[in-house]
Amino acid sequence: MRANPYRGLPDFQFWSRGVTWQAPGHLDPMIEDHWIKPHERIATLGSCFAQHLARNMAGLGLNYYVAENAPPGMTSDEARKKNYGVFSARYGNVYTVRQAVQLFQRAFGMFAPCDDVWSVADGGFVDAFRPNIEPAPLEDEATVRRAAQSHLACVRQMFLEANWIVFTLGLTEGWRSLKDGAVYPVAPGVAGGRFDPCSYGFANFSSRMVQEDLATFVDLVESVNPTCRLILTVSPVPLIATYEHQHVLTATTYSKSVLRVAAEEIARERKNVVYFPSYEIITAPGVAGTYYADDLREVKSSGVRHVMRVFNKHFVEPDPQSLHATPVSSVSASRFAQALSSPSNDENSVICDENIIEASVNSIAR
Amino acid sequence: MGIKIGVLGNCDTGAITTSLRQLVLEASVTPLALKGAGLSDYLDANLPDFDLIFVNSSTYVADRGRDVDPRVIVYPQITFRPFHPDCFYVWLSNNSLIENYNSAICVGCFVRGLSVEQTVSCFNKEVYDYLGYFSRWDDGVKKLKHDFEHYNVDFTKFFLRAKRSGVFMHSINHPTKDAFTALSALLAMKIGASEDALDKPVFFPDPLANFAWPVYPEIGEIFSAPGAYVWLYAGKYLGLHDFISAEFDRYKSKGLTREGIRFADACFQDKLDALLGVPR
Repeated sequence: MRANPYRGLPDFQFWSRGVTWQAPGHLDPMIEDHWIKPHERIATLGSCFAQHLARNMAGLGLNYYVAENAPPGMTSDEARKKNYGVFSARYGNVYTVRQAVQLFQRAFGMFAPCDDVWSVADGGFVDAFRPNIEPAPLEDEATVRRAAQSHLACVRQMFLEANWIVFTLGLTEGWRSLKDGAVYPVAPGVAGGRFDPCSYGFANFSSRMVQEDLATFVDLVESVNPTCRLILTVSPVPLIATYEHQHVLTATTYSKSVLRVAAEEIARERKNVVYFPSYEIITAPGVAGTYYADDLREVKSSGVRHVMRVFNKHFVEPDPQSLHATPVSSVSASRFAQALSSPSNDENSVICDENIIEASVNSIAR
Repeated sequence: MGIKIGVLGNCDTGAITTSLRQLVLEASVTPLALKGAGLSDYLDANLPDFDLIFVNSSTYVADRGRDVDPRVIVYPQITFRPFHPDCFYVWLSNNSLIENYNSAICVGCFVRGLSVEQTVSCFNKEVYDYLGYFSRWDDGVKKLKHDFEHYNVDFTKFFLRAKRSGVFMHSINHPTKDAFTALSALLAMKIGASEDALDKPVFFPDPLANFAWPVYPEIGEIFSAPGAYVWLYAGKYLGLHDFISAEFDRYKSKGLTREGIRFADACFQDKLDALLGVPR
């Protein structure tokens, strides 16, 4: 019998060995491997930070699944402007778990929100659930709804065919319709629609509500795709603004804590759910905030790359043909003539619906 | 009148002296230099003028045979390779050094007859991986810990403070200002300063920043640190290609050959042979 229950526990269970003495850039809070096979389709959804993960999936040799592709003939520039490929389907940012539940329900005809199209002040209409997905508003409500139907068919396909879904949990705060509870990515009046306190209300989902929503989401995915596995992660990007009468920092701590607890609880309960610690890697004390940009909110590419190194280590099976396994005699200098590529300037840019909250407020102030 | 302290280091003398002057205000701190004399003779001649002399271990090791006076406090030379694993000292067969630092890949390619362009192509992740450049951390920490413990300076306090500042070395043996500040605070604590010394602001220009070796981007990546292929070389900043060209010219003038050079780690030549081929 061990006299001390902590004796013999692995290094990662001790702060000194797991954190304090880790080399810079080497913190790895993930303790198990979950290999994603190269042919398996991996889909992404979630907050702005999810785009970083999405962008890097293919680079890791994974089969990043895009169910909603640009139509044939569309230029890559136009496709980018219309947000094809940013996520596995063109749903834009899915910040709250309730949004994800409703996205699924809308895709499978389980929920038809009554307030789904918003008019824009300068003319035209947008999809209330993805108001920034098009570069410009569409001409009428019917066009928006037709586009939504086509999009939701792709969402359906994604939920049916993905082998893995990476869901980045972003926020607990959101805005919802008081008529049917539909939750929107941004408040009415920010990117379309008009704020009417009789029609819309603010919601800051509680820990219990988020846990229930997450369980519902996992159940829904499992009901149509029983072998699909979910990777949950919490975005380390702080709130751009809170509607609570609270400092934005304490509101951020609340929001991230609730999401983190919900992710932990469901990962403990369900065999098909894995928690991936993006949040911990970016916010770790050893990093001392250096993974945040100067606005102390956006995550720098060095932080994203650390996250992806850990993801790569635990989800992508090592290639047995790596150099270490190559007989030394067969290695020649010419083998190494690979180009030294530097990251492109827009490597770190993400499309973030949330950012327009501040922009819209600033435009009013002017 | 305060105590009289001498600092007998090497390239760190200025940094340690300046730091101690600020950390131990009541002391008079004087930088010292051996100037070719042996340590024993030097100490015999100078100790009477001081209450204590801090001596860099590299100097001390050179004259280890002598029983050192208790007024002499030896401190460890900070040597740490993990951020700059390609930066080497290389010796000629007559035991003289090829002056200053060398890129092992660069000198290895030169003596094996590779062209500048071929050498440029060898600066990449796969080669670094093969040469073990990505796995130097544990050995580096172990060696530094050994050196600190050997000279009874608190390694944990030094290293954790230095590590928090990021890449705390400009090269394999040139620490940054942050590392010097931490070491100086620990030396000040040895002569009675409180632990607050570690948190005191110390002002001096980073003394060895101009004697730096770049952190290669691929190496920096694993430490989440920025990297660049930029060398300060004879007063000019050179990129990878120009650096290699300049080094090849230098090596040509010295007539370097595979058999005429050696690295501190004898096995390293075998690794380079296996990677780059043995010159005929």
